[in-house]
Amino acid sequence: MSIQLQATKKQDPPDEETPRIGVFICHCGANIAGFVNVEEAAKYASSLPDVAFVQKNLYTCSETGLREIKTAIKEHKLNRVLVASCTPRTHEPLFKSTCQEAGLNRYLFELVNIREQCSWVHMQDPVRATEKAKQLIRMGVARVALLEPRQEITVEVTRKALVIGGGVAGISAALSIAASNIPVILVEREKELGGLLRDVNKLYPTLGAASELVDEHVKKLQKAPLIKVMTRAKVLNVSGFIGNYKVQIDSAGEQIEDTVGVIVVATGARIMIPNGMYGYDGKNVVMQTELERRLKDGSFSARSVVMIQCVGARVPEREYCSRICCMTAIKNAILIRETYPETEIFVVYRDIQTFGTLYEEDYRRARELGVGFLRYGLAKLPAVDEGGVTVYDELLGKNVRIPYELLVLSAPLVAPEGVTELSKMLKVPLDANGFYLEAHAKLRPVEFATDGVYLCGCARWPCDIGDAVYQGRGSAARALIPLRKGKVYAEPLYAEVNPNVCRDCRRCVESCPYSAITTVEETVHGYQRTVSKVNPVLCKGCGACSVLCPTGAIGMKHYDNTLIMAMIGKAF
Amino acid sequence: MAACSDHPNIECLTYSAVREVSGNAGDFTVTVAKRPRYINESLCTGCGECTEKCPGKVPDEFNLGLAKRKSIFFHFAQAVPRIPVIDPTACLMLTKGKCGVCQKKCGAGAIDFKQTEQLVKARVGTIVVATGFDIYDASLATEYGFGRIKNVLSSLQYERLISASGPSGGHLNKPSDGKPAHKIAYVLCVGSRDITSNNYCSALCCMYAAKDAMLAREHDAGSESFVFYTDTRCSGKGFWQYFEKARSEYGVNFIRGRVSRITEDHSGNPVMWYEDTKQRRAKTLTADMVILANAIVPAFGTDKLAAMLGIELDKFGFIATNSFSPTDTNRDGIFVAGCVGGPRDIAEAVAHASAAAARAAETVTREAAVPAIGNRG
Amino acid sequence: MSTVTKQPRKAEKAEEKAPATVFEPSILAFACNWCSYAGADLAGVSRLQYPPNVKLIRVMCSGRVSPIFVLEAFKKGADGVIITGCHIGDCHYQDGNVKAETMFKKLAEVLRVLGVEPERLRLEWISASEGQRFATIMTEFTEKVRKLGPLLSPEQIKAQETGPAESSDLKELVRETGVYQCIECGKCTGGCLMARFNPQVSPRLAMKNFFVSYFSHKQPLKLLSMDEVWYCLTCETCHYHCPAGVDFAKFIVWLRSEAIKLGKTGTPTHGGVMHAMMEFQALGLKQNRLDWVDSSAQVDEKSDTMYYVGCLPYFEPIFTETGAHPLAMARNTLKILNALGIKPSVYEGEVCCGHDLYWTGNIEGFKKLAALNLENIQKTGVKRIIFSCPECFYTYKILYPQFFKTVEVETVHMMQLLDEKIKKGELKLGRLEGKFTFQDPCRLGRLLAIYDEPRRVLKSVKGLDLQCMEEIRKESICCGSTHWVSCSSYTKQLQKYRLGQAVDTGASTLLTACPKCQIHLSCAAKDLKTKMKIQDYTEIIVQAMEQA
Repeated sequence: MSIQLQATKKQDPPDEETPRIGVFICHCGANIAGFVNVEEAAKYASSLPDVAFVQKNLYTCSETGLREIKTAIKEHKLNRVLVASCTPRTHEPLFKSTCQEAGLNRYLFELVNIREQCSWVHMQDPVRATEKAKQLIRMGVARVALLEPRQEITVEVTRKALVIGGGVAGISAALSIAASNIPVILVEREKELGGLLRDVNKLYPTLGAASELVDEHVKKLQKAPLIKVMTRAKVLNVSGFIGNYKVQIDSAGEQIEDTVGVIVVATGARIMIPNGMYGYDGKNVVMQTELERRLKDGSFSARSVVMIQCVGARVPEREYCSRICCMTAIKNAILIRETYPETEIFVVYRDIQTFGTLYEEDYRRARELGVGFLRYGLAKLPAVDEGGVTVYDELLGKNVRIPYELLVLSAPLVAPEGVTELSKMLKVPLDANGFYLEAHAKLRPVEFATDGVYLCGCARWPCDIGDAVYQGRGSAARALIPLRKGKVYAEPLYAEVNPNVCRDCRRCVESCPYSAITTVEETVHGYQRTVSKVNPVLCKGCGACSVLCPTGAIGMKHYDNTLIMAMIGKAF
Repeated sequence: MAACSDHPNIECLTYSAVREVSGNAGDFTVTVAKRPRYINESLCTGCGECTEKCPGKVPDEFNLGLAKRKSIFFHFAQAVPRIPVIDPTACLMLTKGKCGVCQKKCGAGAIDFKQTEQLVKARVGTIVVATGFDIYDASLATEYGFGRIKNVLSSLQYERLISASGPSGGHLNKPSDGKPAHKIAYVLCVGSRDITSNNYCSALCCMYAAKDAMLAREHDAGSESFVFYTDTRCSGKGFWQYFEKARSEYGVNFIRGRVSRITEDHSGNPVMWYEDTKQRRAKTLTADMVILANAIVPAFGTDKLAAMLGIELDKFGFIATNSFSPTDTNRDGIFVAGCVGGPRDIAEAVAHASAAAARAAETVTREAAVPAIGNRG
Repeated sequence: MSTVTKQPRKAEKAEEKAPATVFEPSILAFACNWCSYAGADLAGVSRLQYPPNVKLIRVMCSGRVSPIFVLEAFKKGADGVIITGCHIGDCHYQDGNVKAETMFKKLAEVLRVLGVEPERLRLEWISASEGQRFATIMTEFTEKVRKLGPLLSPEQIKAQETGPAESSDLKELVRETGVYQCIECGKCTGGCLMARFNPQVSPRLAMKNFFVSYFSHKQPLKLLSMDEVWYCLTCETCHYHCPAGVDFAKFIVWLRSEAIKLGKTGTPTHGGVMHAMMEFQALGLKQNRLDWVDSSAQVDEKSDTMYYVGCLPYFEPIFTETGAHPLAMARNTLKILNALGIKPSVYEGEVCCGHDLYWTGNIEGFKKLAALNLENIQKTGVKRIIFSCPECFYTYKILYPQFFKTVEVETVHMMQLLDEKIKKGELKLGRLEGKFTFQDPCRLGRLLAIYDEPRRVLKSVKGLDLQCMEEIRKESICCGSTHWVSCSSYTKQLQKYRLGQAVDTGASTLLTACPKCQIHLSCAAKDLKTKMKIQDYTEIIVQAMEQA
């Protein structure tokens, strides 16, 4: 025999009581009974060890069926219940609640699926379908006998949020959270709020002034007494988990400590400086931000402008499109043509990114205003000399030399400094480009896999203002779930480490996508040791750590090896 | 879907439509018409026995006519709630007064042919509109022969074809003769970026065309894929990398040029006429199957709904939102989520919907704090 | 209620259809809760038919499927096992399916060596919407396994059910192990390597508790802590230092077999896979355990000398991540033997020696493996067996004769052979500079008193500077685990301690002579990020040979 994993009887059940299992087999009208001989299955069930009571129901999920379960629990002193009916995906919660109403812990229940995975799929062979149903019930009985009562886990949530980053995304998140009467600490690294927007002149697609939008946001902040704004501030340390994060913040030399329930990451991005590219010198060859500055203060004077797109973006070393540069270039081209109609402009691009309903018309408008567009490819990059750019236009099949007085480079947004540090502090992952990695690319875009930490704006991926606003509010909405409830609940299906058996190899720590496992140092018998510890609130119960653990230190509540091995033992 | 229907704070009214809205932010009264399913929802166990035995057979909307469904049917396999619907235009009992097989088969006695429309009134503080989009009717772009050439399909039809749970079990078979298609072309901007139809970019098509082409290559390594594009719109997270993968690892051919017209050759194969703009030559390409990337257009009835809610539409017929507050309509307390406000992909729609929820929560919190005018319950 | 159950429709027909000769395979499927289980449900909802041979166990994630589940299923009668999960990228737990895939590859390799056809194990991604795919795969898989036929015969399955283990004669045991001789001096506990780090472990108290339990409660294990029973390393330090001559290790084996009967089991390492794998070998399947033999290696089926390889081909896929290379030991041993002019036989029918099962108290399992090995020796008619693994050597030399009649065969450990050949000048070794230190394996050292041979062998390499650690030979410190049980925070301390001693010698490499020493010390060294290199001594010998 194998060691420990043998499906032996539960070791010293806490209450010393022997299992008394009630088995309820559903006919589901003719859905089950039409193909599975329920009578025979019931007879078989009553022959199984620990089974104290067997009943057949026309519909176990009906009022009558549920009442019968409750009555049987009381009359026959059942301490485990097994229902053989349909998929647990439909009625498991219902049956569990029924058990609970009858005074039985809801985790002492097991459902065996003899409809979707038996009667309905073996309609041609009722004899073997019946045989399989019996085996499935036998496996279920083996499992339910070993189940232990469990309680749902509840953690109080401190009703306060920390938002890191005071750009548009961070401000939007903070305002949304505060609107639910929840205090927010907003931490900004610079001395002013506004983030990237402070370097912008006019906004697309409205062509309104960026400063007005910043002011509007800052004004709203000032009117929100629950938001504590800290500028020239830095998060020094974070510990804890959802509900209770201890945070240490340095604000202009002054250090504060506080406890928050959730954290929103809105640390934004920075624009790559195209040093050494296309003769960048900050004077005649400049970035879009410099052009914006000159347009804003009126020092713009060039009679011919060339803009090169994708400078350092969509190239092997930076395999992504920075999303906002095409619109920025088109916006500035329109502004120049409208204000300085004599200035010739060429946009040298690869693909124009004017997606959605708002931007395609601007592209048309730019063309209408006489902005020239030349399309280049990675195979032949534009060549810059003093006063001119030679572009091989893919669609023309020729080199075109265009003179410039001002050459504007559209460089991508890249991850700002300090992301690695913060990602380690919060135990949340980064992608290959240094942007934060959300829990799910499609379904959970503004939160991390780790509960209680959220993200928005350019920290996630380059985005424009509209995007930043809705992502900021979106992350706030996700953060508000625990904040408004004031509690987080977790199902008691989690991993647990036996510290004596743990040898601190950290395979579990590294493998957990939820950062639910950390290590703790302790002194045992005079020796310092480090062992893994699972936070049951963060653990989602996937069980991968228990498979990876080389010493067998990690057990899974409700899905432990013994339970699964018991089922395997009875499967044949 | 299941998470939504199971949520204790969410009451799902499916198969229903809004009839009337009155009131203001903080206190709206909404009248919802629950259309008759002809099923008693509390009795139905979702077993599906009724759908097995129903003699009716009509084109299946979910499979865009590529398969048939019964007169009593589930909209699709994972439909929530798992309760079927009787199609009153096809059911023999409801149209001709005879049959009733489903009623006889239903062990739970849940079939109720006498059900009628019910009006439900709900008082809510805020409203989020998330009625989605329709796809552009490609037959309007007559040059592409959709509806005329059998092997020219819409992108959604393709989704059903390539789906393992779809009508062909995931095999890309040509509708003309049922034989497998090996050479497949994907035509982008059908009804998008076109002043004769919709002068906006539908935002999703480049990505799903790349995905579709990769799926076809995964399904049949010997197949060839051609994507006709104008600009590859790849500004979302990880999108450009995805394109590069399609190009380099999957060998998908990207051709820059918008297809001018599609004709059908004698063996029923679509022929695309186009200019390969990078080679600067007019060409033709004969494929086994052509997939049109239909534009995202406002859902049917968006205008009526907007009028009922008193909110404005943009010039394309989507619900108008503020550029810098993209979930807000012109009316306080009414917000939009997802494509009803313009095309956006899943990730964007999810984040957008969360933002709408945040705005809705702001409204409810604010209104609850201020004593209301009128008779609040 | 009690409704009249309807007679199953078409029941008679079904019976007619199935002639008794058709083999019906047993298939066990694991399905993740989020995708594949829902896919299976959809197959049901859509009434897609597949064979009833498939039984499904729901787990939260495909990454939860431990290799032990699969091994156990095959042992208990599964003819095919299929693991299903979400498509890559769709995992509810981010990347549990990627972990499942990694685990699957290792497991598939172990199963292949064990002689389970690779087609019997399958991994598939099935989404919630792929009901058809679920049904198709299950049908296809059932048919494929049906063609393969049964994995185990009913007899083979039944043979695993050990009846109620015979109650050992307690008096006889007490006499044999000399437990009654214990004078409670505490020398055993004072010297116990585990007790240094885990005060719950005490050989003396274990015996004391046993006696008190036995005499006052008539339940020998009543007062014993399971730490005492299962944390023992069986390194036998206590035995060889006991002034009263108590054979505590033998006593612990007995205690363990009794504890198992009571369900008080230890914690196996690696999810119990190691023991399951060993038991599997007793089933008599044709293994694929010789793939590692290089074409350049000279082996001779008819040779009267056999090289007994042991479990190295099984350890290889499991332990490469620790930096250990168990199979290198086997390849090197063959190279050395060939250089000595010996062309040994290596035998495909070889099974595990049973060492680990014996020491974990699974005497029946041990005896099955031993019987198979002894049968093989008779069948092949070999006269001499050469061992590279100290544990196999000890098991053959000492344990087999305790349970079976003596078998006429000479058993030689490589260290002994090398020592003899080098003395005779039959092996030319070149120069090899470097500072080394040597870890005595407990089976070779304390249990068989082979201390000098390895030292002479290593010192015969010119330039090799062999340094002594503290605590060697009889006092040597165990690598931390001898039979895949009770690896713990305490054994980690022990290993840390031992590696510290190795570092203190100034040596750059710690040489091991037992695959387990290599695996366990490599694992610890990796965790602790020490610079000490752990190497099997055969590597050094082969290198020195190449320098000659």
